[in-house]
Amino acid sequence: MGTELGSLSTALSALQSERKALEVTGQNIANANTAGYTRQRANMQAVGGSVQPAMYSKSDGIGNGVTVVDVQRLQDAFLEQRANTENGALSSLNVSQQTYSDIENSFGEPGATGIQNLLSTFANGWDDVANNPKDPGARTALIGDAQSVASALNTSSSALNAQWASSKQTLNSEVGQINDAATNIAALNKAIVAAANAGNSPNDLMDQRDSLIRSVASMIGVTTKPQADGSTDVLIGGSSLVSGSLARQLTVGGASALDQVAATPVSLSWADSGTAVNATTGDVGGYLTSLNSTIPSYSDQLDAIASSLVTAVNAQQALGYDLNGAAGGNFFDPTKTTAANIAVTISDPNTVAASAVGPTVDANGNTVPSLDGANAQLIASTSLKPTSDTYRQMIVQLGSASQSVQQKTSTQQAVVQQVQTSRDSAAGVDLDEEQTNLISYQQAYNAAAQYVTVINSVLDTLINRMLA
Amino acid sequence: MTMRVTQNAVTSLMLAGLQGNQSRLSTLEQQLSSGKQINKPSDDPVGTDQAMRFRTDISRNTQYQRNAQDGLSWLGTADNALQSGVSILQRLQTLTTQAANTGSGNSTSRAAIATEVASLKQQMMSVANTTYLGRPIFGGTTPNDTAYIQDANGVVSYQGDSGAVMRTVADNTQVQVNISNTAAFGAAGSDVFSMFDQIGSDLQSNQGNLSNDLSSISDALGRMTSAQATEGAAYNRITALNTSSTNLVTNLTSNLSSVEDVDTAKAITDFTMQQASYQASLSAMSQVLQLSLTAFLK
Repeated sequence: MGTELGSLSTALSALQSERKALEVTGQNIANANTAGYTRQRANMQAVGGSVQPAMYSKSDGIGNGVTVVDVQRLQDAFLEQRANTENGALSSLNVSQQTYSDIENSFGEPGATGIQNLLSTFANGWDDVANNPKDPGARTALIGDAQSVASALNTSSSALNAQWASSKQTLNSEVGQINDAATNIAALNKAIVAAANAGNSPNDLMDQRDSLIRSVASMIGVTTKPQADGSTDVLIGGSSLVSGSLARQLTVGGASALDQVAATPVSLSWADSGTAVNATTGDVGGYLTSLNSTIPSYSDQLDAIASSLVTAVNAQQALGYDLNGAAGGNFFDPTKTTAANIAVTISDPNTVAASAVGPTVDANGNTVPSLDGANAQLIASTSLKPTSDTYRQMIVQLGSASQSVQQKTSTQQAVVQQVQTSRDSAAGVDLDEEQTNLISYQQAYNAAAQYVTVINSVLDTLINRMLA
Repeated sequence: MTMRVTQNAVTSLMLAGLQGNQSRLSTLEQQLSSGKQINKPSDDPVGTDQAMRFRTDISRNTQYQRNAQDGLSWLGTADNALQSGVSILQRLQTLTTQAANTGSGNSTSRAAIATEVASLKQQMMSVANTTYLGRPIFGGTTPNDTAYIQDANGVVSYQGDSGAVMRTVADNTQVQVNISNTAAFGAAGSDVFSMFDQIGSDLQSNQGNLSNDLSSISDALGRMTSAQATEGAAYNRITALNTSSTNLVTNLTSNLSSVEDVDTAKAITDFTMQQASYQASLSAMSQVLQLSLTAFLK
């Protein structure tokens, strides 16, 4: 309206709007370092005259001031979703990398103290027995070497078992965290919807919700669906985890020890319906892969190596004759053929079957054993070679797989970094920009105040000085 | 559209760069302190394969060297024994020739010769029972302490067996390191001991046969020197293979080192460069982070 008093209301609207904009800028500056904060902007719009002309209210072409229509949250939903996806992939790779690294550490190859070296020493021990079949020292040393190999296999196996148990534990605790986050997201959805209905912009609640969704996305891959009422649905593999203000829970089932994995793999399912959850990314995806295929694969290979060792040595030992003239008995316990329980069963050094030639009977009817060493020499050169080769191949393949995961992880880290930068570019707070805004809002406020002063003096002239 | 760069973006980019620097530094540090460039299989899978193969081969060849040393001892002991045996037979030849030439000669001189022949027989017996590490070297694979025993009537018989003692001195290569009793002393019934007995009895009652005995002695000498030749050949063979093994171990050790061990000079150079790069990024970071509009607004 083109009146003096009307101008005051224009000035008032300016003062109020600029102050509101200053508050928003203040909020941005205060939260410059808050993780996950999305910057906000006060959107101002000019207030026009009344559109419908009526008898006593007609627009004269000049507007009625300014109003802040909303405080906009500058978030790019596409970048958010992309960041979630890439973080999920990175988490999964990080878990894989850690798994492989732990497995490598439990073998300690290449080096002078690993299983490969113990197998070599064991093989050479047979030659020492062949060089001096009557010497109990060489035989005792051989049994000792065998026990070292068995021990090392036991240790590696139990390291793998411990790693499996610890990964399972971590998986359980992550699923617990996901469940908690889901409940919290649902509660936030409820609060946001209520606030939106009341006409407020619950930007900070939305930030909290997004940060929870981000953490869930890195734990297990999720997709989000914003709803019209302001809530966001969170889905895992198409099934909803959070739907409005309702949250569902996940449970971990399946094997509780490494040796049960073949029969019942570790699995994730919905607590309410029991259907399986297809989780392939995020920490959870990484742990499921580790628990169900990576660790069991190396454990199985180790078991096969132990079994081949037991079989090869026992078989060749059986073809020979010992110092008592008897045919060779079991060197390793034939009922214990896994890496966890392989054990040396021979205890009397004389029962090491070094000779390939059987005993003879002398004139007095006594058994005369042969001091031949060919059976021992055969074990030294031939019987242990396949086991040693298989072990070496397993280690090399482990190294390759681990190296490949490391490369993928560092590539993915670069991708995540780049996505992060993009997201930050859209949503992050730039202090220089905020300070500039401060100045412009402050100047506008000063100018509006000056306008009030001028209108005041105009009114003063009109009321107090005209026709005085 | 120009990209907005916020303080947070700058900080996190710089931190990521620093992290990268740190992790490269830490890898180099680990290499320098362990002396190895392969600390786990994923550092170099191909190198790991080579290193493991080299280790296995070095271990096996070192064992071949042990086996070879033992074999050489066997053969060396046999050589000394056979040498003594040859001397004994040569002395026997001299004595028998003397007895044969004396003709119908002096029974006293023949008695003296007979005594010495008996003594030579005992010496030969002790040579035949030479041991190495508690085993009779001419006894084959017998567990008995001696190869030959003598009964109450002075008849010597063989109580060993005909087994071969082999030593693995190279891949798929075994060499026999014992001399069989038949190769050194002759087969049972016609060995050197029955020859001694024959000569003893001929000296007493059948001097005419002494010339036949001389040809037996000559056969026995021939047999023993031939055994020496066999032993010598085996000795040379093992020595050559042992030298091969030694050279192989040296080469393999050097190969292993070049695959596994860190090149210290290069590692230290890389480490120094990496440190300089780290310091440069710290310095750049400190300068950039301090820039802000606040400093200029009054």
